[in-house]
Amino acid sequence: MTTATPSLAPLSRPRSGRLGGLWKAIRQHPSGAIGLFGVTFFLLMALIGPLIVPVPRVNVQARSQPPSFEHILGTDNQGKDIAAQIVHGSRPVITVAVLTGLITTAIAITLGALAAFWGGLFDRVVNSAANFVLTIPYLVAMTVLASFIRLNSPVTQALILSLWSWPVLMRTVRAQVLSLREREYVEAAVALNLGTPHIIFREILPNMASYIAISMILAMTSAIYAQIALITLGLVPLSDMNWGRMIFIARTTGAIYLTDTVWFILSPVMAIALFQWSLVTLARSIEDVFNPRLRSGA
Amino acid sequence: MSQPTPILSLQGVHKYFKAGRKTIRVLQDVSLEVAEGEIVCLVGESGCGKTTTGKIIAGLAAPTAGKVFFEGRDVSQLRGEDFRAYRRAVQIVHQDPYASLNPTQTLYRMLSFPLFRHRLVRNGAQARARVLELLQLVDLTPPEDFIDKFPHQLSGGQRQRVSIARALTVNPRLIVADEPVSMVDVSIRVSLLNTLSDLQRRLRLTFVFITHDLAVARYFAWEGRIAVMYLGRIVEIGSAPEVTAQPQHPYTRALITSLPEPDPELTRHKERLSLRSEDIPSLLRIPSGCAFHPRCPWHVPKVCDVTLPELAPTEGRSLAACHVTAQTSRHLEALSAQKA
Amino acid sequence: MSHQPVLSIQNLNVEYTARRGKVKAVRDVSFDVFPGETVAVIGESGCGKTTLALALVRLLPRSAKIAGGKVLFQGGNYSTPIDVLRLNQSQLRAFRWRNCAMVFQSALNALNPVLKVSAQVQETARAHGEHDAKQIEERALWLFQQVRLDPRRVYNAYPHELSGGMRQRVLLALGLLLDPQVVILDEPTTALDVLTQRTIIEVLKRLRDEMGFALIFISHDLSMAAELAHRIVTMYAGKVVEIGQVNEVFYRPKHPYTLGLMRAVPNLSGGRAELVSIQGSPPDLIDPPRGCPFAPRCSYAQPICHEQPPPLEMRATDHASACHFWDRLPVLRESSEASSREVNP
Repeated sequence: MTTATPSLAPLSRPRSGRLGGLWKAIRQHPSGAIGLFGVTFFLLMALIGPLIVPVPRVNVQARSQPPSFEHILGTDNQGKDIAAQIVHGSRPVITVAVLTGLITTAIAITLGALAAFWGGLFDRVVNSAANFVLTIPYLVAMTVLASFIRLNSPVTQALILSLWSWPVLMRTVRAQVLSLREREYVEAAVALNLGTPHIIFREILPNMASYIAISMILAMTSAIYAQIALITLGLVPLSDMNWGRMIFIARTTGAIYLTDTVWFILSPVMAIALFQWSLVTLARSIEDVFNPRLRSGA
Repeated sequence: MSQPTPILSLQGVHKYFKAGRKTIRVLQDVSLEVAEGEIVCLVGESGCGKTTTGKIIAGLAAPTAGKVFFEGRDVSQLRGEDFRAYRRAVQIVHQDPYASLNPTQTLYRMLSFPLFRHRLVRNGAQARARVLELLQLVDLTPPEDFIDKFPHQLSGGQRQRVSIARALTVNPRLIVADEPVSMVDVSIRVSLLNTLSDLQRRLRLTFVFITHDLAVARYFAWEGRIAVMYLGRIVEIGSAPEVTAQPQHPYTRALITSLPEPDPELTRHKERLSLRSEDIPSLLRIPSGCAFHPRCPWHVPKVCDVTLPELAPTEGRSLAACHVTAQTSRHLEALSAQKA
Repeated sequence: MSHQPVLSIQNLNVEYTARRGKVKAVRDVSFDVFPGETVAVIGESGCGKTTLALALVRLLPRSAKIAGGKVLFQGGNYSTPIDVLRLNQSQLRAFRWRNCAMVFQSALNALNPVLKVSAQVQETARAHGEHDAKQIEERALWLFQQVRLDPRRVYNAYPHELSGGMRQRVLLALGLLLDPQVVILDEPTTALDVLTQRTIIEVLKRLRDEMGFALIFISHDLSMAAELAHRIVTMYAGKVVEIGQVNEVFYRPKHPYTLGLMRAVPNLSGGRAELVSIQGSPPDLIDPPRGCPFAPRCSYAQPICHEQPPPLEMRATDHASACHFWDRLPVLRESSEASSREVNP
């Protein structure tokens, strides 16, 4: 198309900050706004929910009740309020997810960017390590690990999950940096002698921001699944309240077959699905928030 | 060029790349001297090595063999701050206005980074003032309207001006401009070239201007020189009007006669130098002797395909690497000697 | 050229849907192309020339819509004019190769990398109802010869074994396979080296004289137009602003934009020309100016230019322009009487 748009964009536009741009992006992408709303809702639930909602208590008088005004999501087979369990159970799940996302991204960016930039031996070592990790089936490894390490702290869990999730992201970061460092503006920065840290953090990484944010969110989603799998398989001690444990108990007490406890198993499953869906929806429109072209609304 | 030390001098520069087991000879024995304040255009078609030469001059690539001297000092011997000072003194302006600016930075950020990094300004107010000054210098006026813009809000020509301003932040002495106008529209090309000429005069800059377009080279380097490159070597070098009006090397002549001109009668009645072959040899298999011989209409068997011609004086004032031209000129010299 | 036009474009309008509104990329474009004639459509990026070319063969992207007008074709199997814009899909497919071939600027991507050239030739022919493989091969080999390729070698090669210039010529030959009456070239030599470009120019000249097709080529390169075209169409901001015989347009331009382009292009012979850029940038085509679209950049502009769009009218023999002050423009060069009348590039 020779009808390219640059000349069509009006040249004088007021400055718009990142926040203003965020608002504009939300308006232009209602689905992204819904995703953002969902993610915020769950994060708040994990953060301040347990402070507001009382810890659910056993109540034999009200076992396996359907949703009512008193119990929005009904009660479980011990008469405990399911909604309150969902709130209290969100914190460990989301903490581990967020931590895993952060750690994975940090490892992947550091190793990927440096491997691409330095090349040579470092690059080869990092790549071999990544290949090695990828060949180990993580559930098997977890089963083995669980017998050595107590997996009850969220940090330990996050660290171990990250150990298995960095290679894929690292490879893509490395590939992106390799291609971005060939860009002419990077070459110009080299000629201007702006220094390697500047080149990595100011010239290259900002151009990958949306990509990194999306990858982090996706790392979070897989961390959630991995966690639930670990709990459901009984590899993690069932000490505190969390969604995985709810599913585990609901399943072992036969909630799958008994229709009156369907709310017990359905609620955590729905919570997980909703949280995941919010994350993915947010990730899909995040590109536009980071894209300066769209941010300033050309 | 025998006067003071040239600002830049390439001596027998070679550049090879490895492609698997094969060697790509991108540059072979390139020697070039550029005087302070001079404009030298490197002209040639894709694969002739002009961009690689530019990168070597700017210190962004190292020669496989040969030496680069900047202000008389061997660049490969420069260390630490000396090397960095050299690299700042030589800046590069790229071809693609859409790839040469970081899309995530406003012009202010883009232009102030180098100012802060090299302590050319002390605070934000100074930086802003200097950036405005630079934008003014490259005719982005009024600069206040541009300073907070992102690249995507500018046209191709305006982006190229930003690229030039960015190169000027560190007060360079020599600018390598790699096809700076080939991707902007015809109607604004000239004003961009005129801006570069103005800067060259006002700041006493030296220019190595890389282009595939002989007409652009001739316009920009009217008072400077043109070096024509073919398959990694300089085949002809001389003053711009001379090289374009009396090309000595058959390759230069083929280029000039092949180019259509913006004048219907002129271009339709131009005399053409037709080639023996349409095929452009691969850099992996550069022909023996004169690399141009398989395509050259003047080619002399057992001479051109055997011996490599050296850059030598011709009947004009330019230098050309061609056995036939050299012979003709020796012949003429002999004739004039006889007459005298 | 007294006979019927082979292609007659009448009040063609094309719009793109963008976020901010409708981009009016081609606005009220009308001109005729006669059999055997070469017409160069010149203009800068964004002037609508590529959109126009794509509209003529109906290959516009989905975001584009033909908002009005006609493209009448007469020739080949059609003895009375048909409107290309009203053809159904199967008629259109036949039209695109039998009557009108388009050769794109990105020659590198237009050939399928996993198929040999021979397979692509045969497939193209079969898709358009030619089933005699032997005859097609002969025709292809003849065409390869015409475009100065080594016929056997190229016929049996994969695209990656050919250089850019060779691929461009293969595409040209492929376009001519079914002997179309009109050939459209979009920036045919932009990505090519000077010497390869020369080959293509020479090949085009010879083929159009021998085969008699009409040639429409889209280019930003005035020199190419000067060399190849019988007539020049200058487009600006989606409109035709000037149209005329090549020497007329080059030596006596009647629109300030064409004049501006002429004055902005460096030459190779003679002294160093004083070159002048055109100030400013093209208008926004979502909300184009009310008057003459070039007025904001024009040194001849008067108040009326900002108010009233100038009509495209005949200003000299076979030379129309859309400018209120066309008669104030200088004559760039007096060409000799003979050559101004004779159209023989």
